Amino acid sequence: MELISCIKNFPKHCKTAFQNIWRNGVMSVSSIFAVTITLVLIAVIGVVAINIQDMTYDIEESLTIYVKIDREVKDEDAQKIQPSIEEIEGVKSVEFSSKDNELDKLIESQNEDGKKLFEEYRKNNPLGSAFVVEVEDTKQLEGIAEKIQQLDHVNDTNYGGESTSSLVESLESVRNGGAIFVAGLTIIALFMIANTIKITITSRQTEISIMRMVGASNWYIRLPYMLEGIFIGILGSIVPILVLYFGYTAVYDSAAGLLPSMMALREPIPFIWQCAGILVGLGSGVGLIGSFVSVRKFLKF
Amino acid sequence: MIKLENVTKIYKTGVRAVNNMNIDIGPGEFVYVIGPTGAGKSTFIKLLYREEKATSGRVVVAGQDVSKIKNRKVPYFRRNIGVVFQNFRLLPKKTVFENVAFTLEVTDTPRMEIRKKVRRTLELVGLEDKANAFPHELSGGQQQRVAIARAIVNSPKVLIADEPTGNLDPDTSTEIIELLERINELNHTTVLVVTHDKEIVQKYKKRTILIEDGCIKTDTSTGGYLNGTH
Repeated sequence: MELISCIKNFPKHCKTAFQNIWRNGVMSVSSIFAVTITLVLIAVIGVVAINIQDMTYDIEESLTIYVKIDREVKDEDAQKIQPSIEEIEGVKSVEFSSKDNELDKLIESQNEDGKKLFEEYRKNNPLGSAFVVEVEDTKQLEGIAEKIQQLDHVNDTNYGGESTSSLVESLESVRNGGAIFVAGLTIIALFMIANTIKITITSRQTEISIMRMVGASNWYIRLPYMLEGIFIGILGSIVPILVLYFGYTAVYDSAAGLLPSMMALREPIPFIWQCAGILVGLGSGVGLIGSFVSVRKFLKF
Repeated sequence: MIKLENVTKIYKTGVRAVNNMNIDIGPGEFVYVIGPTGAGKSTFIKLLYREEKATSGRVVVAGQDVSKIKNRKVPYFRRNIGVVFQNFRLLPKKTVFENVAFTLEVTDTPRMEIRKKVRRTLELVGLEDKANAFPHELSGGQQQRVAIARAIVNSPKVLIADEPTGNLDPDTSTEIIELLERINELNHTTVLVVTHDKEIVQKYKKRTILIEDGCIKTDTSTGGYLNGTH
């Protein structure tokens, strides 16, 4: 019965909620402002953290094992090694590079003089063929390199050695640190919002006791406050979304030419909309829960 | 209409506010409840509208055993009772009309009927021209009239007034008491007025219950403060 009454009165409750926001003027504005500030903070730091995370993954993905095959092994024979590399656990992909290909790459990397010099070797290629191995988890680089080393005809493996390992480790700690930071900040921000809403509602304690006095059921009292919390959350997330939209597009456009492709920022669309959705969700969700909890305290008989 | 049987209320702090109280108030009665501060008057009426639960004994109001009502059902029980307070307790952000209408809105009364009943009640208390004012724009006496209108708009069986004249000057107090009497006569509502005001009790001779130390000291149906033990 109570539920039916709540649904039937939903438009009225919405109206009451808006009326409350309007008539409580300063209190509502301060709540909305608190939501705005915290969400802007979350948005900015979250977006930065997500992009840094992306970059670290991109960098990690570009880390590969370079496998040199013995010089005397012919291309066709070398290619037969490919399956045994692929069999190793943790190997994501293996790309074969023939002797000629290797020489092309070498010539490419030289200056003019060098190019002329190495062109000479076209006829009698002294280089061996090679594999470029990508791994699933960069932490396994060292182990997999060792295993490949033990295969027949493998001359040498190179994954950058110690420096790569420490790079992987530091990227990992940047990611984890960022995640913890964002999570911590989000929790603090949410507490701030919930607290502001709590103050708003506590100041209306008498109002709730009067409603109880004239026989309003608990849900009848609660619903407008919950809706009010949601509306405050939504109103508070408008500015952060605008900041995100214009700020991020501007940063993206100006960064496009500056950053190397490996460190590219996420495409603004649909990234901005996803973030906007999260912000609205956070704002209204916290508004809802905050007001629900605060009202509950005054509804105990 | 109101019946207490061996009711005792002991607060968690150990204070025995109501001690083995027995009382019987019939429908349509007008009763004054008097007594010194701390005698247990407030606890007595809080027991009636289920703000407090009796530690032992039986409280029956409007045919319902109050102590047996589940917490969730308390709001529905309260629709049978109108309560008026010393400090008016109006919703500050709602107009006079909205304040009075609120009592009916929570019971899902159709809008047309709400309008009709609120208007009629505001006429009864003499505030039909203040319907769109906010409480802070009214005088104390006017605010108390709004509070009374709110309490009676859904025609409750019992009207409890806790020191309704405590914040008002003598002339306004008289008006309020006369209004309560009129409601008692017109609607046959059982009216319970808690008061400190000796003059009022002397002037309007009604049944008067004197509470002292959590017990009923005297219960005079003839009325008058000084007719009792004093």
